[in-house]
Amino acid sequence: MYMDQLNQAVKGGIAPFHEYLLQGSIVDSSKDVLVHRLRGLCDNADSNPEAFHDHEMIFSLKGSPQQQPMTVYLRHSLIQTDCWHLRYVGSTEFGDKTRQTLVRSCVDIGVSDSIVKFLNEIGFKLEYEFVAKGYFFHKGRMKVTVSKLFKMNIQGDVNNIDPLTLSCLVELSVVVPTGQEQVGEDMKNFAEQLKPLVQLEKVDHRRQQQAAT
Amino acid sequence: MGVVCVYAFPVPEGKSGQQVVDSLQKQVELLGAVKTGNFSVDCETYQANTQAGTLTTTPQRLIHVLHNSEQPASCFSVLDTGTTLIADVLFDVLIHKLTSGKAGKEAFYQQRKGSKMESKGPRYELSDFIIKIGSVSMASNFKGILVEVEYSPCSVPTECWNLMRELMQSFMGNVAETPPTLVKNKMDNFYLPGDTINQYLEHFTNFRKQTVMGQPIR
Amino acid sequence: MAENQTESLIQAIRCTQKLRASVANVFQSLADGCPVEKDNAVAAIGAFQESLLVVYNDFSDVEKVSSSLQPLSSVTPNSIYLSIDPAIDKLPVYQQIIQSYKWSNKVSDLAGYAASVMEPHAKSKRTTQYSSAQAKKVKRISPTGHAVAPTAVEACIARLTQKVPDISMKITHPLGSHAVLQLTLGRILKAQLALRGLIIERVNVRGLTETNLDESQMELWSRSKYDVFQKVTESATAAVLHFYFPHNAEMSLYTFLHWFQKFRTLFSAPCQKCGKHYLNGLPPTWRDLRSTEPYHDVCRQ
Repeated sequence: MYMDQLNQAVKGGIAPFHEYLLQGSIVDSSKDVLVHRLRGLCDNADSNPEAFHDHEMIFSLKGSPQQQPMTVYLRHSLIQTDCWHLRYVGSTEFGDKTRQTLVRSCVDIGVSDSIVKFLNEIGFKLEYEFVAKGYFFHKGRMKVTVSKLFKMNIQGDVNNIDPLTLSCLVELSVVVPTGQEQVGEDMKNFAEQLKPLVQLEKVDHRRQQQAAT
Repeated sequence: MGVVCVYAFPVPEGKSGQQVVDSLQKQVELLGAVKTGNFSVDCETYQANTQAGTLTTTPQRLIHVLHNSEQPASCFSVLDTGTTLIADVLFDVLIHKLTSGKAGKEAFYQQRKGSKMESKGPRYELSDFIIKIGSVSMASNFKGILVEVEYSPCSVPTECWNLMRELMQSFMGNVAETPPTLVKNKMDNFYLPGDTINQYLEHFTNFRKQTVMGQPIR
Repeated sequence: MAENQTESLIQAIRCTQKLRASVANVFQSLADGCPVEKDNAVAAIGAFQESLLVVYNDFSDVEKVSSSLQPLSSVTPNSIYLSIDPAIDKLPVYQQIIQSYKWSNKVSDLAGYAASVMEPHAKSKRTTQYSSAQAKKVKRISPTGHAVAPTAVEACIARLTQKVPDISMKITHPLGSHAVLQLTLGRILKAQLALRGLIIERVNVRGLTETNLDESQMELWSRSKYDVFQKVTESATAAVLHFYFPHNAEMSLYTFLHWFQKFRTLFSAPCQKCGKHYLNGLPPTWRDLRSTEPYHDVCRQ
């Protein structure tokens, strides 16, 4: 019964959702200025910005060559330790110049704490992990995160960490059902207001990976 | 979340399942329970895709995916190792990805043929008690009857077991003499939704075994 | 430091004024000129010399005082900083604006309420005074349980915590000075007691797992969704009235809590009359006020 409803939902474009994404970075010394501006621009300006401190683990399932590998992103909040969040991200559509943002399908699932054991038992292996600390803002349905990424010196030890770079990752994203192209325009306008502090752009990860290799 | 007990109710020789269900319903209604709709618990089983050649990378695991209409936004996944995962109902999408190959690639897991089981029927409320009388079917064949009784205000089985037993025995007789094994093992702990699912899975597995042994319960 | 500074400044100004006066004096006498006669020429030169000497003395005074003053830049007023461009992004402008906006909004709201409340009182002031004066004539010791200092309430609760070990208590003050007690009874139930001083104003019983987003305030008013806890709330409200001693508030609080902790066996104790747990969908929800034994609601008569 549920599967039928679900299949309908998938066909109807309700699930999975599409994520529109812009990314940028800012050096640590200017982070406070950006946070301050975001506080002014976003909702709930009168309360303190919401801080997060997450441990992200990336698992993937690789079978035989005939099988398409599958990767999932697991986030575990180190502030609210019973919060676990699993995310599956589909293939990225970079689009042409007329498209303002990166678009990718994604599935966001809240899960219970047995998830690590569960993934391991059905064959997923831990690929890499990191710790992210930062602030979260929202304006309407737009979500802005300013996060500092840390590498973990010992596997699984979230206290023994070192910063990865001298800057912070800034991400602007919106998750909507299929076919709401208007969102890209809104995001571009918002990103415009953060200039020249931070330049939010659509980043082609595949090209970056190719350049790295 | 209260304490839940699930019992398999035997169907005596010479009676059809429907007759037993009807008499149970009549008894429950006599106690003063009010019908508040229907319920369903369903279970689908997946196993590793053996056609994909190399088996060393994917372990031979069974994944049981269950849904309970009492927790409509959740999806429960239980492995044959006993690991229970509770997730948003969108987890189904992920299971769907795991079990459907695309672009000529093979899937990691596949559905077990004819394994889908379901228990559904009327749901009654009697003050703070919730009583569900479910007919179990496997691939649309009748398999048996499962009766679920929940006492919602209390979360610790030891506290309310005697109270529940008095109610259950009043319409089920000796079937409810002792707590179900799963409840008995954690009498002094807080009862959780995952425990209900595991009770159902245990009963589903038993029904399935009986079928394999060629002794349908009817 | 600052006072010294102003004192020496005043002194310096005074010296400067003196110097100006003496210089003006010299030029005045020069401008006026004077009839020079043979015998008084020497005296006139002497007078001129004297006035020049005064100028010299005054000038050295000014110099002395001015050396004691601090350099100009450190005493410049804050206004010169106006020329330095402030980085607006670094000032907490947004928060301050929002704070003051909210504050002024709140003030105007509250002022509105106050006005509407006080308006009728302005007219009836005289009559109320009159009636209260009349009431004073009837001499009666009024109960004092409601007028207890918050510290005394806390001390009393601390004493009671030891006397009633089964109940864990937490004091909150969601609405100003009066306390709201959050009671947790084992793994069975939660209860909220609204106190006025030490007098119990309201009791509300809810399930252990029933939560509200708003921690303390809402739970006091929203009824439990379970029949059993609604029944217990009724029983407890009746007991509050039974255990009310107008002149010994602590005693009434203690006797109530002592009775209330017997609900630890709410689900597990059988009824003393019929010997059963279950009746009409409920466990025994009444505890006898004297013997504290469990009864079903219909079995207690």
